[in-house]
Amino acid sequence: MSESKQQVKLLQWFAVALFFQFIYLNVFKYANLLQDILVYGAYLKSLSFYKEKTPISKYMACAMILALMSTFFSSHLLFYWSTVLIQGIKLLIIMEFGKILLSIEQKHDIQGSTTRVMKKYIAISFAVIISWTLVMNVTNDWQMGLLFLGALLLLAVNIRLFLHVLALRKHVKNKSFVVTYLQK
Amino acid sequence: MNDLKKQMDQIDIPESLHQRSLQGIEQATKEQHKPLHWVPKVLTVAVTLATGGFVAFMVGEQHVDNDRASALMSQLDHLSSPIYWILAILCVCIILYISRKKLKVGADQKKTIGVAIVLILLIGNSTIFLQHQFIKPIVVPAAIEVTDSLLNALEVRYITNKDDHRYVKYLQAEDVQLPIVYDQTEQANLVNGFYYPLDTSQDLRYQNIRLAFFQLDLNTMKKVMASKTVYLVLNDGVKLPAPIHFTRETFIDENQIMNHSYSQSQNDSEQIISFTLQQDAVFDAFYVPATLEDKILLKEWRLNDQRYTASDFPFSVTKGQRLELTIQLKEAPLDINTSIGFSGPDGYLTKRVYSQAYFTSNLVEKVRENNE
Repeated sequence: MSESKQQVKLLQWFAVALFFQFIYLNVFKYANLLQDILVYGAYLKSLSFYKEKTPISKYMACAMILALMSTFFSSHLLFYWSTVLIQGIKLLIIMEFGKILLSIEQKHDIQGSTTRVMKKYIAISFAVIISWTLVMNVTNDWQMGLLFLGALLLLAVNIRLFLHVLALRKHVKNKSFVVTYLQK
Repeated sequence: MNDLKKQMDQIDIPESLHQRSLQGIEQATKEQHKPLHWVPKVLTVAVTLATGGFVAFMVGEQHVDNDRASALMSQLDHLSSPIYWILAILCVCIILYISRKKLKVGADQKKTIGVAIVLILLIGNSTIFLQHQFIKPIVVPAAIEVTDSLLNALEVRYITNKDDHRYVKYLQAEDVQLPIVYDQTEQANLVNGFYYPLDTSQDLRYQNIRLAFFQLDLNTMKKVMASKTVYLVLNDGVKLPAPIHFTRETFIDENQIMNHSYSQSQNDSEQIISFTLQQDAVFDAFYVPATLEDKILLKEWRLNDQRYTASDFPFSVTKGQRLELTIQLKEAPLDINTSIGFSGPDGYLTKRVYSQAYFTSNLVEKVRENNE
């Protein structure tokens, strides 16, 4: 398989993982585990098209262990901690993928917007994570409000990144077609 | 090409220079790998330890069953909040130390700072969270007047941590053991997989206030009233002392002046009781049970649209007249279910007042202090 085709596949599966991640399901017990399996499965599939070393699989293992722990030991404090830490790890995973996206962009000499999109993604996700560390010490209404607002913001940035990845995929695909056409 | 290679081999590199370059390469590879290897590991261990410590404290508080452990806990009890803070400060120091090391090594600066900020915030918030947890559930003090009817209903409230899945199983007073009326299994209290007790009467920030109902006939009631201490017993056998004050003042019912009455609460601290009298009567005092005299105050009464206060005793009311009594309940962690009204030479004019303390975080703190 040519490099471009591999990159297209990588981007495609990354987009699938982002799609599965759209709706924040951590407030429903067990639903989040199913979501995690789907998302991480898609990440792994996506990474199978990437030859260089990344710490993403380690991050995924950590996140999965935390998710299992918070599901099977019902302690409020553990729930708050795992909510924040899992979201943090997910952000780290996306940051690693951001590096991959950037390298793909550079390889194809695209004047892309990956840096800009990632910057916004990281800033907003970080703000959400910070706000979620406060969840344990506020009243119920605030708790619901913060979680809901955070989920909404995450949805927004995920959709933005999703669209960006789709655009990048299209670009790489078109370019590779051009290359094969010229070779003929 | 081969010529160039030969020429290259012929060039004599000084031994010392060669060694230095080798050293440089070695150092470079070391520096490249060093931060990647140990920093994340140490960070992970620190985070795991911190989480484990906090959770252990948390779980330890809940499941203290035997006496030895509870004695230990009661010693820890006085130290608990400083311990949380010391632990938290220790964790924060570790995090700061590690992130400084990591920054020196030259890892991704922004990432390190971000992780440190999140962890410090988590630890700080957890400390505040833990500081507000109860060591043991606490029973809300209550003043309850018992009637002479065959069956008395008894409603007692208790405060538990939101995490605490235990519930009151029965009421114990010396040899009397009364089971709770609505016995709930833990399963029934799971809402969407998360624990939320259905008998919650008030949902506070860190605690739930839950209800326990009991039914007792008059004989059991007398036994309960005669016993010195009343306990609520949890499903795991832990006894909670219940500061319930029972009164049984039959003379009020026997000397009751005929009336129609209803009561309504004005706001959290005020209640209005309206009486419509069915006979003429004279009153010379405000009546509350002796134990509640400093908790319930007479604000005013209204007769023919005129306001009167305590200085206007005695006063007379004629048949058919409407009398409105406004009482003030002092903010106190106390549930009230007693008769309140007027007394005079003709008898008592009372109405049963039923009031549950509305808990604010201040009041929760007060209950906690009283309990310790």
